[in-house]
Amino acid sequence: MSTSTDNNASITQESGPSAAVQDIQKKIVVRTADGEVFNLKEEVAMEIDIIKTFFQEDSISYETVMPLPNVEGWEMVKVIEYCTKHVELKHKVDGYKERKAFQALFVQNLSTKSLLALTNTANYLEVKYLLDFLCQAVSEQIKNKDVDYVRELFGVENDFNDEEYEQVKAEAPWAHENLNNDLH
Amino acid sequence: MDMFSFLPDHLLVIILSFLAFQEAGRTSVLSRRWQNIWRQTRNIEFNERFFSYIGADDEARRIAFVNFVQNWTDNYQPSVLDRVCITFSRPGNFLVLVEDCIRFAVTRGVKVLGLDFSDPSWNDELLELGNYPEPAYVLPQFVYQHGVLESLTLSSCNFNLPEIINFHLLKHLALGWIELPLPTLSVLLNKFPLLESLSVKNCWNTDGLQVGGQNLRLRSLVVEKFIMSENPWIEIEAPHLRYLKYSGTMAVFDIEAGELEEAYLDFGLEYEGNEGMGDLLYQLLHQLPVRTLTVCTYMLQVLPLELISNGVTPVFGVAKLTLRTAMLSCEQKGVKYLLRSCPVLQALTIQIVPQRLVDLDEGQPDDVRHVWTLNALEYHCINQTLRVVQVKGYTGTRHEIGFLKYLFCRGRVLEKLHISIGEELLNQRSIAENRQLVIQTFQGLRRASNNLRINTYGR
Repeated sequence: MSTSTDNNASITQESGPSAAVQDIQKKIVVRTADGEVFNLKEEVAMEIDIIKTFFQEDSISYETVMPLPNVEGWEMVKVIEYCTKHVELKHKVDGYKERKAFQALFVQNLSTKSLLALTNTANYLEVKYLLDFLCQAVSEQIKNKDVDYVRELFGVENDFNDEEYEQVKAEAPWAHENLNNDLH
Repeated sequence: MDMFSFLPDHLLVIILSFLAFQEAGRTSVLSRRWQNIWRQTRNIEFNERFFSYIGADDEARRIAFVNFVQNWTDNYQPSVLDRVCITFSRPGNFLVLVEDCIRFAVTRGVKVLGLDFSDPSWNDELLELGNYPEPAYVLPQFVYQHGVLESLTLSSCNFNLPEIINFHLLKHLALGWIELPLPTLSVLLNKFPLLESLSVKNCWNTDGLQVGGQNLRLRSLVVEKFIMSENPWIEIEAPHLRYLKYSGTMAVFDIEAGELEEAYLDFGLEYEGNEGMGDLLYQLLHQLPVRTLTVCTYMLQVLPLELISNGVTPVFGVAKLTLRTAMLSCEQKGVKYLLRSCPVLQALTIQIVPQRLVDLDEGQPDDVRHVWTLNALEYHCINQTLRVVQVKGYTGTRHEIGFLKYLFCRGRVLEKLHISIGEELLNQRSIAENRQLVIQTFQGLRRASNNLRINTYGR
């Protein structure tokens, strides 16, 4: 782990060897839009590019609390959860199955609205692998569903008139039929 | 309220690009915004078979396809994309278009490139008769400079071996409808340091198949319809291989793949069976330390003929087994053989497929009426470990019914029995009537497992 020369983080003197090991892990503090404060382990915080840039580019002291006005508390919780797991699996030789299981659970109880909000947040915070995963999760909600279902689920309004609608359809008629049987 | 209104366009493009091109095209009618998003998708498939809706006129279909491709590549705005697949048979009259299309992909940094120039009229018999089609296309020179390629599919497309190894980031390689001599295969396997998966379909050589090499990182190997010499042999040495799919004729296998987790075997091109073939199958299964296994009707008919075991039941660690079978009388011995040999089986799937009788040296066994209902044998898996059974494409034939009853009465730890009704039955009766018939099958019988739930599905 590299240490920055103007790092002012102090190691709390506590009795017992385990405490010393614990405190060598530096913490980065952020505050979300709803005023919640989060202490992140440095290695997890550095997974979030916007945080990484903030502290590293201008060599800002870790004592500064970074404001995240576009992020809600619950979103931060989820992002930390995902990044922590990602860091953990980095050190594992074969975490494929574990990752898949974790990913399934991660999105299990997220409403469509929350999923989209989190996608936006992952984009803002600049965590590429989380963004890719969430985008794929959203695509799974569209996959194999007909147009009406998607419209209703996401609240998309049809702003075509009848003529335009038919024109768009005619651009790729094969996309709108269930032609799977003929293809292969 | 449109939930997508809070997301910028570029995120919608990423989301859409996870969908197949045809599926993504459907979203174009959602709204004007979505029509625009589709036009920016990074996952593109130009497939002439999409245009089969036009009807029987081959020429008209091809023109429509060509126009679509031209239109798309002319108007595509983004400067970056991820995936381009072209499926176009007999490209002979459109060489410029195809080259332009490939250039379109390469100049936009494509990572996944698929080129399929095979002719749908080519079938299995063609290769068996020794009629090897000439490649319909040659990979253009400029493609070899595109060093960022991660996945490449070439079907009936010739390539330059010394130059193709320039794709040093290649993880996935799929080849089809070309000759693959052993030296070529060896170079391909050893010169791509990141290669994770190799797929070889409808290829041929005059030898056998050898997949191995120091530091081979291969995790997945698919070999479908590989035509070899008179005495085909297959040698696989792949310490990191997780998945193996083999479909074709019988061969002598020599497999060293200690981390293999799943195998799919299909000897659909093999027509004759005897003890010797049974022995080969026996030996093959012993080389596959897999937890998940799919076997075919040929294996069910021929495996029990083996003599090499001398009557000693083999033990396989298979936990998930799929039988691709028509549940004919001649297959039941094989079903029993596998149940006996898989003492830790947890999940069994019966995938009903079209009938195929293997030509057995000793002729077909007698038609045994009550193979299952009178089966007194105890199988460890039936008693202790089998929890889930699925039947896909149920046709309600004698042995299917017999086996279901057997499972019902003997499956002590069975939790789920899912029966998906096949098309034939669905065309004859409604799903409700079919469901009723299935339930009647178990009437009067006592279930062995209190936790058993039976579900019947339509399509």
